[in-house]
Amino acid sequence: MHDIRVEVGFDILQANEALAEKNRALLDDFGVTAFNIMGAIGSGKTTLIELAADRLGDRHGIGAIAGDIVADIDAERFKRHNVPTVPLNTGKECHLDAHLVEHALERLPLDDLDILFIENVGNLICPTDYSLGEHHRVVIVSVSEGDDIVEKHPMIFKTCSLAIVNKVDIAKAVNADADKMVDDVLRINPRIKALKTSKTTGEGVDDWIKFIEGNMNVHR
Amino acid sequence: MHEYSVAMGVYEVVLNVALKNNAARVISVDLELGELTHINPVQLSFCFEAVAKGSLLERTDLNVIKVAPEIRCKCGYEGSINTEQQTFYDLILNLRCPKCGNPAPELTSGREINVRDIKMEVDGNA
Ligand SMILES: Nc1nc2c(ncn2[C@@H]2O[C@H](COP(=O)(O)OP(=O)(O)OP(=O)(O)O)[C@@H](O)[C@H]2O)c(=O)[nH]1
Ligand SMILES: [Mg+2]
Ligand SMILES: [Zn+2]
Repeated sequence: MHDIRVEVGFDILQANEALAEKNRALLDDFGVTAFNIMGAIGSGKTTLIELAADRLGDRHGIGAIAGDIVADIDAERFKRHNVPTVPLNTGKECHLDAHLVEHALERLPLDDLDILFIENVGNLICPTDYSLGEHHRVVIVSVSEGDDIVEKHPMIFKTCSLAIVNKVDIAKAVNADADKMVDDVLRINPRIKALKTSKTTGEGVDDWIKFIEGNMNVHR
Repeated sequence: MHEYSVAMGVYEVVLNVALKNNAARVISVDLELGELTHINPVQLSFCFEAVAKGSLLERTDLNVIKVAPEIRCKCGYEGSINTEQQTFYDLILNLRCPKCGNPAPELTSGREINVRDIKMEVDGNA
């Protein structure tokens, strides 16, 4: 018996980053633009993806990955909008990672897709550190989480290119100031685009659709 | 936070190396942990212990080495930023170049979860 010391130098986040890069290259090969949809639990991630699928489905091929503790519920919702979907049950995990997404990509008809929505686990902290191979990161919060939710979770807003404050139709009822939330977002990240949306009134939905179409990669 | 999944990740990396080296036991692991990750070292050690139970890593010491954030800026500045008396969130919110004030410098360290080296007990003589 003797002791040895082995230098390893294996960085867990970098390993995820490398896998994410691989996923991105695969998506690029198929001309698919991927959006990592992150946000608070119940903030409207599935709803906003459904709206996008309805508005864009006749012009673009749309697919989805539904990541959740129990993913089948959201996956069924996407399928009802004719979106090919792979559910990713994360069990104990609080975020998706590039490895899970790698296997989900194997099960999607990438040839038919132009846009891939990856709904991450509802959580404003953990998904931040893990790239999946997406081209754009979107964070969704809603007024019902309280209007200090943005200041409490600055990191995720630093890493996204679009922030959505959803459910503005009920802001008054829950005593939240949606404009303050948008101000907080822009203070944390001056380069981010921020939108207020509502499924009920349709406010901001056009801009959400514009953001998606405006950020699609040109195919090959 | 995802201390549990990070602990799982560290466990898998270490176990792989230990098996490759025919280790009888892993004595200690040096893990570099960037201060800008969302990982709490105490919770991480706790999770690691739980994950390692009943394995080669059962009594392994997890030495967490904190790594301070450093930046590189287009103005030429490379190095540390003042992290004293700043809470974690202030640190992120106020991340800027100390020389020119640029609010978007490139982070060169502070986000690592790096299994740096492993000390283990092996059979035989070498
Ligand atoms: N009033 C109002 N309700 C909304 C709006 N958008 C979504 N909802 C409702 O909020 C609830 C949650 O919406 P989802 O789209 O399932 O939210 P989610 O973020 O996907 O939820 P999880 O996947 O469980 O984290 C549903 O009952 C939606 O109908 C909105 O703009 N206004
Ligand atoms: Mg959902
Ligand atoms: Zn500078």
